[in-house]
Amino acid sequence: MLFDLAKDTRRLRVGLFAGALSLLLVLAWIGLREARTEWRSTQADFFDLTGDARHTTEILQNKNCSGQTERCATCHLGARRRDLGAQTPKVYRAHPPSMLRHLERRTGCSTCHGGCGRALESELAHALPGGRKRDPLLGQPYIQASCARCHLPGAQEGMQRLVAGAEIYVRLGCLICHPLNVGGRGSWDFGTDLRAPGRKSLAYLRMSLIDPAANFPGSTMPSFKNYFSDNPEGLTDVLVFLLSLNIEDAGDCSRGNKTGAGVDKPCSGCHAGAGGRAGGRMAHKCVYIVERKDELGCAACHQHEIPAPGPGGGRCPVINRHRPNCVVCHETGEGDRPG
Amino acid sequence: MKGFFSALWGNLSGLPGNLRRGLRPGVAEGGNSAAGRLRRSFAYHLHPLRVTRRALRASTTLGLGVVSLTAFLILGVTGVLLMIYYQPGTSDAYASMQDIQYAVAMGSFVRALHRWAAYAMLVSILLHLLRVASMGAYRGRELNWLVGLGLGGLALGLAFTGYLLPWDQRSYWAVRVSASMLDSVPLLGLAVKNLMLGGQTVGQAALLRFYMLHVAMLPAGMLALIAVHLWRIRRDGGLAGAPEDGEDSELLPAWPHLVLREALLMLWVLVVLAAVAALVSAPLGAPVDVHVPANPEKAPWYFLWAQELVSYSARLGAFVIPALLALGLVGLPFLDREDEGVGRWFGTRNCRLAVLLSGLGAIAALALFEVFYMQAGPGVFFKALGTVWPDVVNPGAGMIVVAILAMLTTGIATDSTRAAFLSGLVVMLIMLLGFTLIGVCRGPDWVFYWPWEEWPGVV
Repeated sequence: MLFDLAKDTRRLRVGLFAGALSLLLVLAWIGLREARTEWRSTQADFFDLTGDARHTTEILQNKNCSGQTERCATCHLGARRRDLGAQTPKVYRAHPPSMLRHLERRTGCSTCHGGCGRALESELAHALPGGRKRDPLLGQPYIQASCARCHLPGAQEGMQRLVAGAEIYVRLGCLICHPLNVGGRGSWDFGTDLRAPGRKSLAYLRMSLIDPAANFPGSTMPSFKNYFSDNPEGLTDVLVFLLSLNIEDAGDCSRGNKTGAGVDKPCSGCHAGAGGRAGGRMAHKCVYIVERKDELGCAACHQHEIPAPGPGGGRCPVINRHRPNCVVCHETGEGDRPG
Repeated sequence: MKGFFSALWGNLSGLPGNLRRGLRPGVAEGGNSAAGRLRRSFAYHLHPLRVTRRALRASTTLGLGVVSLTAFLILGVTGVLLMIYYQPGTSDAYASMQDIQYAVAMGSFVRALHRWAAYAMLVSILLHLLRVASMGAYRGRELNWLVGLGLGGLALGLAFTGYLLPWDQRSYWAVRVSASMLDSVPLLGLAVKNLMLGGQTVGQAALLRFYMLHVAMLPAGMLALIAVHLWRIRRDGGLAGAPEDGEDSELLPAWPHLVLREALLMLWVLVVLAAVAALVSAPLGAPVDVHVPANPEKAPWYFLWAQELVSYSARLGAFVIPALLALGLVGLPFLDREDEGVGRWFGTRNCRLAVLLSGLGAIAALALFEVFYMQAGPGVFFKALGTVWPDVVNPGAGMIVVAILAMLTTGIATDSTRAAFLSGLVVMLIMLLGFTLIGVCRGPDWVFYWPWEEWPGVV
């Protein structure tokens, strides 16, 4: 069969035209999708609701206390408003006044509530960075777990649950298997290291207390179901404490607190963060160390105090992981001490 | 003065024509003829004036080279767009990726397009290599075969360096795993690792080096080699292999029949990739935690076969088998000097049959090895041997044995070097694909799970 030059050219042109049209359609679809993102409609609805004259839509962002960008304000436009009624949809509702000073001090949102501050889609923003959906945002009553990032338990008002949870943790003897001592990971291999990263979900933690074998078949951990059935509030308190043990996922406060305002944990302000960043993961979550921090001081283990954190302040002293100064706690001879 | 104004007026009134002639030099001489177009246009000048009808047939080459080139061009454009926002610092990289993914207008689309185009390029380059090898199209084109292998290597390098840049948990540990494979490479392994990472660990130095390699050094090398690769095709006389007599050898003008065909393919590759990118966004994992590896830590999928082989034997998977494969590919045009069957899919009829049988044998052997190696049952003897000589008794070593066997039996049966080497290559590639699939199925602690099984310990 002879090659039909004209027909072939025609077919090629039709193909090119169809291709170009398809490309335009795909691009138009992407453009349309871009113009109708969730945050744009959330903003438009807010201005409709308040009767605000403002019509422009823009991403609203700010930095939290550790210098991380947050875009929560893009949708949560009513956080500082007092004039919106109780019928306002949750996304626009005003922040409870008790903790408003954190907002004024630019603490940011994810510092306490967790989530992924840079994301704009609610589904992503309310999950952990990377879209891990294991955890909802921290809210009442578990929000107190986040206080421990910057404050010593009990150092400020509004941390009752955290303190009560730590007390129950000690009273129930959790420390025997989950000691929370310094010395790095792997220093204890009996119970799970509760400071290990990869925060478990609230449901997982609750189940671990009620029915440990349900999470981990063959677990030798006793069930605390009976204890907590009489004391549901105590269960919440312990969960708050457990959440506070591993809060590096809760936000991005891992580079150290830049403002320092209201922070009463000069070392843990920096060292409570994620590994690999300021100071690694030497978070002092041992209740004994936290209790006796003022008495002991950082120098008890670290040999010398940091002169002044920040630029030009010198290197933070790193504890020797393999030879931690255990005797500080372990040779006091007090019966309820671990070890 | 009058002369000046009239000259100026003449120039201005002649502007449209002069613009056309000035910006499209050669239009006047060549007219708008097909030959003229090919001669004066930069984009078309690589084409000969006339091509055979066989060259226009889709089944001749499947257009795989054009697909790779298109993917490379898309990667260049999207890559430059991503560079506007990306910051190659360990403390900023992940945040800038989040910005691109979440806040930058069309950022997640551009990123997804970059990611999927990269994968399309890797796959099409591999298929292109297979096509050329299966047709013996390297005959008399040894240099271009080597240039093509270089391009494949650079593409792997680009994919690997790009994998680290998001600086999320997945990319960090994938690169750490891959870099640790270099420990098993004798002599140069440690030096290469030091040079690549700027130290022994994956940190700021490594990120900056990977970034530099990814955006400057490797793309520049790729561009240069692509130019040589295309130029050599023209110099070597177009597609390899003489067309059969009859209608296949009919000569047709390259414009528009070849040029528009290529344009059509490029356009549709772009359309498909854009549609996929619009539907599926590229994953962005959790931020890096250098203390806590993901379990399992997996290499990028195109190195997964190596990781699977390393799980049997580090020396074998990270060094012996990749080296054998590279050596075999480099040596192929010098070990096979046959002219019969060049330009036909898998050469002669005997060759096709041998390759088919070898491929089936490879699948059977792979299944057998894995059953023996994974489940103690009937393979308890091999399992025991495997613990004594882990480098010698394992599925990876078995693959080499099967490939050599396939090569020898094919060679003896067909008296053809091409059939022998093709059989060996096909056995290797099928089994490496199998190891990749097994690697995909590996769960925590590198335990095998079927895709429908849930991994334990995931909450």
